[in-house]
Amino acid sequence: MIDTNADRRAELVAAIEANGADLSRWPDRALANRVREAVLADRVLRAQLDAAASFERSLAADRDALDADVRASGAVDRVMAAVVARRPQRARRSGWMAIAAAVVLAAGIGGAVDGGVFAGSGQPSFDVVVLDPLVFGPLESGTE
Amino acid sequence: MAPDVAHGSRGIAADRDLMAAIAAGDDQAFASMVGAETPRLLRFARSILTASPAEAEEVVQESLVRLWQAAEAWQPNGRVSTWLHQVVYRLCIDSIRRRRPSIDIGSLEAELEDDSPLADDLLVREDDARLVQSAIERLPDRQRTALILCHFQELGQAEAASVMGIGESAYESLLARARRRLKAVLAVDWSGERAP
Repeated sequence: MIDTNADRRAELVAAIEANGADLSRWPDRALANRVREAVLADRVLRAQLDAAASFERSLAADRDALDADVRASGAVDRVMAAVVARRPQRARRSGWMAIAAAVVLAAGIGGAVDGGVFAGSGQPSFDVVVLDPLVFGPLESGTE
Repeated sequence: MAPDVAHGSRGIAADRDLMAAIAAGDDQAFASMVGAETPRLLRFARSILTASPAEAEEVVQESLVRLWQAAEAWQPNGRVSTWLHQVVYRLCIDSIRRRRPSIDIGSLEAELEDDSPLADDLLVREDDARLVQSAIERLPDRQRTALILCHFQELGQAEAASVMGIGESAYESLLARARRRLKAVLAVDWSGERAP
């Protein structure tokens, strides 16, 4: 019976060691409930849980000290400013791409107009014929 | 659905909307994300890259720029904060490897593995952050990361394991070793301080 109790305690001590003192965060809730019940009657186990809680409070204090150091160093502002400064590079590239797209569009429209896409809109059209004076002579070409 | 699962799903959906806004060029959405994540990521990076706060700032900066670049192709499979932690962690590991190119992190951990008994009756002094910080810095890199993800970043087991790219049981084991090792280191430090 004593051995069984010792085994049970050892199992729960190992569980506290593995999962920490915050029983609400344990993945195995049934095991956490067993610890909750056991510490009510087992002073050694209770001391183990208190020591684990104290250990975690010391880690929390260290974390808070680190946060204070980060705030005091101005690191947050520096990082945010640097990220914002690096981000517009893509915005500028987008701007150039928009300009390039506008140039291509303008060229396309110009080409379409030049190619007569908009012809037949009611405007009269006529052809101009230039005769080569070396072939047809000055009289026919009308240059003299 | 369990409450934490529901909360996680809501978080993923909210992150998806936020990333869509960032991809659409919403500066306010990006500024909001950067403002919310930067302090936490800096804490994480500084805890991993203990010797170089400037390097930690560069790592966080790079991870946030990568987030912005990834916004258009974002797949809502997980939380943005988990993704950012993963990127920060990988960049930190790269940085450590550059600093110590001849040392393999896995073997380093095996070398430093501590088999000393548990400091069961250790009551940690809560007012001495300096000693605790020093002890954390002396942990092997992966143990330190596991400890930081749990106690500083307060990530759940699955999320922390995902950040480190290992299985949950491996993370659980790593975390238990980290706690045990830290207690042992602190016990030695404090006994040294108490000695005349």
